[in-house]
Amino acid sequence: MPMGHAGTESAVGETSAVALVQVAGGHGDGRESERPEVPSGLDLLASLRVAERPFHPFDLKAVNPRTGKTILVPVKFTIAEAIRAYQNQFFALMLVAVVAAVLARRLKRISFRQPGRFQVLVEMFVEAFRDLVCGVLGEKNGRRYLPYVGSLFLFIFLSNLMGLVPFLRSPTSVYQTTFALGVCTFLYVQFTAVTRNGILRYLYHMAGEPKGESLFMTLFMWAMGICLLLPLHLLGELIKPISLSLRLFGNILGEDVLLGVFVTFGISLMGVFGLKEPWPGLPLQVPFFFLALLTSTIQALVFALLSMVYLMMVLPHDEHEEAAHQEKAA
Amino acid sequence: MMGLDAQTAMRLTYFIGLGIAALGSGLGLGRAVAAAMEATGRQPEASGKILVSMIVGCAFIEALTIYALISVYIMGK
Repeated sequence: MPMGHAGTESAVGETSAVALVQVAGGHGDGRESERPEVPSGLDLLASLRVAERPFHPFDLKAVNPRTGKTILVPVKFTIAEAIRAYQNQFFALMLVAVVAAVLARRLKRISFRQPGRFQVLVEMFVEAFRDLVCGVLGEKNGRRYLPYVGSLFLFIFLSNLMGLVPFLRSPTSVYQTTFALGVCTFLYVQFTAVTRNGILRYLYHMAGEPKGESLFMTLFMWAMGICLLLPLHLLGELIKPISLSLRLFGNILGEDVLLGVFVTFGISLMGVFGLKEPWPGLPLQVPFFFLALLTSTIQALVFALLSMVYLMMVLPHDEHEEAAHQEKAA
Repeated sequence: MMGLDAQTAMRLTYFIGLGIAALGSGLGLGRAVAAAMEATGRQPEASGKILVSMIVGCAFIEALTIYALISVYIMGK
């Protein structure tokens, strides 16, 4: 299965397998990217009809002869090309739809005394994650923020793993998806900070909590806080979604490119034996599947864990100490 | 003899910078894993927890090298 899905493409025109791997990492138009990626099913479908032009719904610029202004003219495109241009969002949507459908169908009857196997599996996952989240956030806050962190972990984990399945591609291998996830976490954390602490306390914390003994000291520290510490804290807050998203994106894209490079190498290595185009290449990328499994799991866990830690930092701290006291007592 | 123009110098420097980033991450990860090994040696029962913490710490350290790699991707197109 991993051997043939890049080499068995016979398109109209002179698209060879290696060229397909090169183009699949591109942008859906004729531009080649320097990042070879294994083509997904939609890439293969869209390449059956070789696209001469980049995909835009409105492409041609025509000049209206009466007024002399340029207008955009809609061009014809195939459905395959259109979906291929948005394939990462398509795969993300398909992932969520399939998971939701499977869960809704299999968990119609939840039994307390005689749970079925699927229910036990889901409960295992939820309980493990609940222990992790409640250990960091405390009992009450943990139960409240568990849905977000758990869904985040599940989505990222399954999205990362989709890159290893033959005709799919990870939606997290493009920066759009991971940036969206980072922005979601950022907005949720800031919203929690403002609503749980109040807007004044939030600004007070951003300015570095200036409090001095005398009036002059307080004013001085307020000035210092607003001039120096406020921009620094703002920058620190803004860098959090960027670092989250870049870490996930870099790891997953790096894994996909690694697989693509070794697929290319395996295909071109068959030339040593004199076997050319329709033969599948040597499966040199199989050892890297295990590395990709490890990286996918770890990056999903790190993203979810960091989101949890950011939430913990903005929540009121006395509840956190209460949880620590409970753990010491138990 | 042709000198280095700006574009070539930039590309050359990217590779050197990436090597330095990899060096830094190698040092950092070495220290992290060494500490984890030592902690496991002191208390082998806790090796599961230590392993998980080590993996998470390694992911953070690795991320800095990934940032350098991403910048090469963005600039190099």
